Amino acid sequence: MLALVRRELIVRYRRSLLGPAWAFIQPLVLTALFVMIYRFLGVKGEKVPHSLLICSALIPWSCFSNSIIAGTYSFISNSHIIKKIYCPREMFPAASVIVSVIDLFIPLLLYFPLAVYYHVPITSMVLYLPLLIVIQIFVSFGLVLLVSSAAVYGRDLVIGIPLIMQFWMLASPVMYQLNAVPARWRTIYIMNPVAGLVDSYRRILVFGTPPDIGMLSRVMLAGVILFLLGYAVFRKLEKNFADVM
Amino acid sequence: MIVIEGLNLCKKYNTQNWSPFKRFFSTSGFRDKKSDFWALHNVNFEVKQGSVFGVIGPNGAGKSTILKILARVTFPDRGQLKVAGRIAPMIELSAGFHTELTGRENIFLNGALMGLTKKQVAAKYDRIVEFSELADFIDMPIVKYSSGMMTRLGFSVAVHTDADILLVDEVLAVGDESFQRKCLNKFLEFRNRRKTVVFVSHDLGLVSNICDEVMLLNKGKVVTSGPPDSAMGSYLQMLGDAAGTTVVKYDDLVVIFNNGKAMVYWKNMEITKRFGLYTSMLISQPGVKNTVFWNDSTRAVWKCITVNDRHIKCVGEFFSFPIVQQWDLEFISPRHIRWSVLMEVKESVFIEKYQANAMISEKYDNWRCGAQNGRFPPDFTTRDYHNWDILCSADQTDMVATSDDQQPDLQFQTDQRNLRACVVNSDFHFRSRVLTFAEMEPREFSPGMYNYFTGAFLINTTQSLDNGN
Repeated sequence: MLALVRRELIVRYRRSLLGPAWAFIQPLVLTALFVMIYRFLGVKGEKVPHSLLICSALIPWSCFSNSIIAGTYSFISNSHIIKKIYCPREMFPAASVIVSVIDLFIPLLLYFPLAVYYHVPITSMVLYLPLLIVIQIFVSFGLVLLVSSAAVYGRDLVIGIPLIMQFWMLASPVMYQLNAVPARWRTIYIMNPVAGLVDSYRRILVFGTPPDIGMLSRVMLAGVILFLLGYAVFRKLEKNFADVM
Repeated sequence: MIVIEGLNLCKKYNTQNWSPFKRFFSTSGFRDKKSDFWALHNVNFEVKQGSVFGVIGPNGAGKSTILKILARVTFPDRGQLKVAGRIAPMIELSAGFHTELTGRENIFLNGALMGLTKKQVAAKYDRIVEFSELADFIDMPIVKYSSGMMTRLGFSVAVHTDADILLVDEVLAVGDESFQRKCLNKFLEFRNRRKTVVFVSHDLGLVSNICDEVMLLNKGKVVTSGPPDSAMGSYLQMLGDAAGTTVVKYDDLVVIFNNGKAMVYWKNMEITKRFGLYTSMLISQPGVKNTVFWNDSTRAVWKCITVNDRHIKCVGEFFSFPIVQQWDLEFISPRHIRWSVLMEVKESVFIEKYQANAMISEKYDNWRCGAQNGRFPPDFTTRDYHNWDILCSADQTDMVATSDDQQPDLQFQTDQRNLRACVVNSDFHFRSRVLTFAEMEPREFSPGMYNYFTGAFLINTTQSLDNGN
């Protein structure tokens, strides 16, 4: 499986000039874009600069979104292997999730100098990060297993998923904060596990407060359920992969 | 010991299943039974440890499906497969390669896909590179490799994975002559190490050379299974009306004519190898000076007419030269095949020399050519394509080969006085010995009919001949 991860990383940057620098550039440009939109709209600044608020949420979100979109293809793009070589097939979606988690680390490293620049203190709450990442891996891997197995049978998902991710981003507190959501919608809103996750990242990175434990435990539960469900569906569908592709 | 046992294997495909919409309904009970198609239907087979097991059959016979099931890429719908030992899980050698990666990176990737750890691959790395003969190109992305280089790399990784059972699907076609030979030697080495090879191919000559047992499939069913020559005989009979093939059985003798090569079997033993009885001509390219090419009868387009049970007539038209050969194989007795070749030249052509050859099994140990005699060396010249190790060259009209073993004696003789008899040891086509009658005089042939060769191929008759002399 690690060999597959290596393959993905090497292949991605081999023929590009800037190479791994792209991993920094993508979130940087997106953050700058959103900040410009806020300035343009004249949204009033708070204690904490917009760029940090957005950056702290955008980093986990783009990791999540990239892993789902790339993961959807994971079986289809490896069909030549699946049809000819027997190997534990869960390693294809697993590799694509791991690759996107590696992509998560690089912009996270970028966040810290930015925080220092804006004089936002980095507190001990940062120690929650590994927990959040593990939870995020469970949620992404479960979902990727589910979606990629289904995508083998119906390619509609390959087209549909990027669109769904766009809506999902609007339904998650990436460009705004969780407290901007009207209270009466709140209960439905936090059914979205990514909402809890993204909010937790923002709390520990920007505000230096612990995550909302109640909300985070629900995210954890959702992650475990997604993982079990995804794995069950994968086991069921996997048997006929070679015949269907 | 049996390492693979297939019991009533069945695999069904639904030809309608390509559409996700229909698939959705078919899983919910609306199944269109008419479009079911059995890729395998009650297939039973056994593979012994240390053997090379061949699977042959026309397209759509189920050969690849068997390999897929063996590799566990797919599952049989019914039936059982018992396997003792570790099967290499790969059915196509270059399947795991990524074209953007270098040869080195691909070796590690492919090793990992086949279940080896990085350490294990690293330990074998040097041997893999050496076998593939790609040391100079190993740090180059394989997108720049030729298909032959790709196959070499894939085969090298596959044979070094230490699996007990290796699956090989039609790979050797891509490599050149010398690499093919290397692969075949590797198979022999596998056999000596009690490892098993399952080999799927269309190349009947190759199958008959290296396989210990052959299973013939057709439309998902086993037609026959057994020693290579009998299975191949059935295959050619099954192809039947395919123009350039025909089979003659006469008591213990079986002769398979397949597009310019006549393979001879006696009591299920291989008398000839690979090309069997065939002809070759060294011809100058028309209009181009100093370029000469060997043209084997296997490169002509053949049509066979069975005159009667004891006589076949085959006509072969060469691609690149205005020459037609007509072969007459007459079976005087089960021990006596009369072989005459007529050549029709349609436009004048310059022929440097031409030969009638018998490529015989490596199981023959002794030769006699007129009054001279000797032993075939046990090693084969492997230096290059045309390097024949000529043991004897004399103006004679008959040659004899005998074996220390059970292999029946054979005799190859001609009625013509003008030919040179040669005994050759050659690796030209994988460990074989060749008896040749050659016309050495270069000359221009104007249009017309010529007598190319008349002679006979005799089995187990030399004893009586020797007594007669």
